[in-house]
Amino acid sequence: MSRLIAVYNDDNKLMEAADQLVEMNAPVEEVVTPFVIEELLAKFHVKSNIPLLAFFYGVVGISSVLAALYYTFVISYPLNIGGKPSFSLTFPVLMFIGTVLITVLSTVVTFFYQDRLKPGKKLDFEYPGMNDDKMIVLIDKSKINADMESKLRDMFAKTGAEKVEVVE
Amino acid sequence: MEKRFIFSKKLQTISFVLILIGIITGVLAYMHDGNRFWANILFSNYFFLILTLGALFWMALQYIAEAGWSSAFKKVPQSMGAYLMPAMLVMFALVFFGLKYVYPWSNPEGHIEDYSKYPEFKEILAIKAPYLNNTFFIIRTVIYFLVWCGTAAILRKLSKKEDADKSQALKWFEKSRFYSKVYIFAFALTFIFAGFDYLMSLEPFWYSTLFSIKELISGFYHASAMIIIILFFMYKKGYFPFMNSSHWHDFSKYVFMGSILFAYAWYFQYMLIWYGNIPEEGEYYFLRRFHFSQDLFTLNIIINFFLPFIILLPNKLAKNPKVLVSVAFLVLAGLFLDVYLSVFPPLVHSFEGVEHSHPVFGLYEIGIFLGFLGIFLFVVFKKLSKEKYVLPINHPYLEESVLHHNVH
Repeated sequence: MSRLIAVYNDDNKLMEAADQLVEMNAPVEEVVTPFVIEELLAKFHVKSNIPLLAFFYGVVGISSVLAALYYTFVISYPLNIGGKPSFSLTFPVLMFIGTVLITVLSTVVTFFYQDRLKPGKKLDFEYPGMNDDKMIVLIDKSKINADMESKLRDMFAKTGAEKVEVVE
Repeated sequence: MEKRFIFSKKLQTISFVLILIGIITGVLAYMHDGNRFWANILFSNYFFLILTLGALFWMALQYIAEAGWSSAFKKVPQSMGAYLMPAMLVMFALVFFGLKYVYPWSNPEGHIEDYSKYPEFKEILAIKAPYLNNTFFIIRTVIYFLVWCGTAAILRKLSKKEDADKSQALKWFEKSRFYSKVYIFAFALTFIFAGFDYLMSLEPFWYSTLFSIKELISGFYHASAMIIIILFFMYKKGYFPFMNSSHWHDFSKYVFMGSILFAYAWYFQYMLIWYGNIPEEGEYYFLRRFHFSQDLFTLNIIINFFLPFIILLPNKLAKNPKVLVSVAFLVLAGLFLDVYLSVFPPLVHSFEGVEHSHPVFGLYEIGIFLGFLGIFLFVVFKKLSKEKYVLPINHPYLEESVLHHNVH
C-alpha cells in the first residue's frame, strides 16, 4: 500500500495542517503522534464510543456480579455467618471490585477489536523517529488523484512539514 | 483583570441581618435551654469549621499538585480560611463555658441518669479520663488553634508577598508549595484528634478509628461544593469573565470524586461495624437508625452520594454551571444532615421537653445556623475585599488558568 506522508516536528504546525486537511476534505488515514493530542481528535471529528460502552459494561458488570452473588450466597448455598442475613451488606465490596474488573477487561477487548490490534501484530507503518518526536500524517495514495496530491504537497510545504514523501 | 472584590452594601446588610437573627435566637435559646443552645453552637460551628479546613486543604492540594487550571480561583478558598479564627474563638467559648452541657465525660454526675442503663459508666470514663478530661481538652483545642491558624496565616502571608512582588513570584510560589505540604500534614495529623474530640466524644463509650477519616473526607468534599457556590456568585457579579465550561467541569470533578469518596468512607465505617456486630460499636448506628430516625439516616447517603453521582455523571450536566450550583447546594444540605446526625442524636434527650431520642428541629436550630452563616459570609467576603486583586496576578500558573480549555 502506497502512502503519501508528511512529517512534522512541531504540534502547532501539525494543528495548522489539520485545519487545512479538514477544509480540503482530504482522506486522512491516520495521524501518528508520540503523545496524545486531544484537539486533533476534535478537529477531525473523531468520536470514540468507548466511554459509552464502558458505562454499558459497568451496568452489565454490576448486575451480573450481583446475580452471581445472589445465586451463590442466597439461592444455592445459604450459610449462616454470625446470624447475618444471606443477602448481605458486604455485597457492594465484591460488586465494586467485580464491576471494575469486568469493565476494564471488556473495554480493553473492545479497544483491541476496534483498532484491529492483537498480541504479536506486525506494524502497518514504520518511520524512523515516529515514537520519538515526529508527528506523521498518513494519506492513502489510492484514494487521491494527481491534482489533489499536488495540492496536498503544496499545503504540507506551506505549513512547515519537515519532509513530504511517498512510502510503500 | 486587576479587579478588586467589592463587598456590596446589600451583601453586608444581609450578613448583618443573619448575624442579628443568630444573636436573637441564640439568646432566646440560652435563656430557654442551655443544653440545646450549646448543642446548636457546636453543630453550626463545626459545620463551618470543617468547610474552612476543607477549603484550605483544597487550596493546598492545588499547590502540591501544581495544578494550573485552578490558580485564578485560589483567593476564594484562601479567604474561606479566614473563618478559622472566629470558628476557633467559638470553640474556645464552648470549651470554657459549655463543655459540661455537651460532653457527657466532662460532667459524669450530670448525665448519670441518662446513662443509668450502663452500670460500667463510671468505670469506662475513669479509664478514658487521662485523655478525656477538661484540662487536656483545652490544651488540645489550643494546639489545634495554633497549628491551623498558624499554617493558614503563613499561606496567606506568602500569597500577599507574591501579589506585591512580581520579580520574586516564583520564590513565593515554591514557598507556598512547601507550606501547603506542611498544612496537609499538620491538618491530617491534628484533625484525626479533633474529629475524635469535637464529635466522637459526644458518645464517650463509642469509638471508631474510621470516624475522623470520614470527617476529613467530608470536609474536603463539601468544601469543594462551597467553593463552587461562592465562585458562581462572584462569576454572576462579573469577577471571572474568562470562566468557561472547562473550569466548571473541573470543579464538578471534585464534587463527583468527593461523592464517591464520601460514600466509600461512610460505607466502610457502617459495613465494618455492621459486620463486626459488637454491641459497643453498633450502639452508634442503633441509636441513629432505630431511635432517632431511619429516614434521615437513609436520606444522608442518598443526597451525599446517589444524587450528586447520578446528576454529575453525564458530561453535559457536569459542565452546566447552574446544574453544578444546584448540586453544590444539595451537597451542602447533605453536610448539614451529616453533621446533624453526628451531633444531635446523643444530645436531644437532654433538651427540655424531649422525652425520647427523635429529630428536634425548630426555630433555634435554624436561627443559630443562620447566625453562623452570616458570620461566615461576612468574614469570607470581608477578607476577599481586603485582597488587592481577586486574581493572584503574579501566580506563575495564572495564564494557564485563564486560558484553560479542555477538548472534552
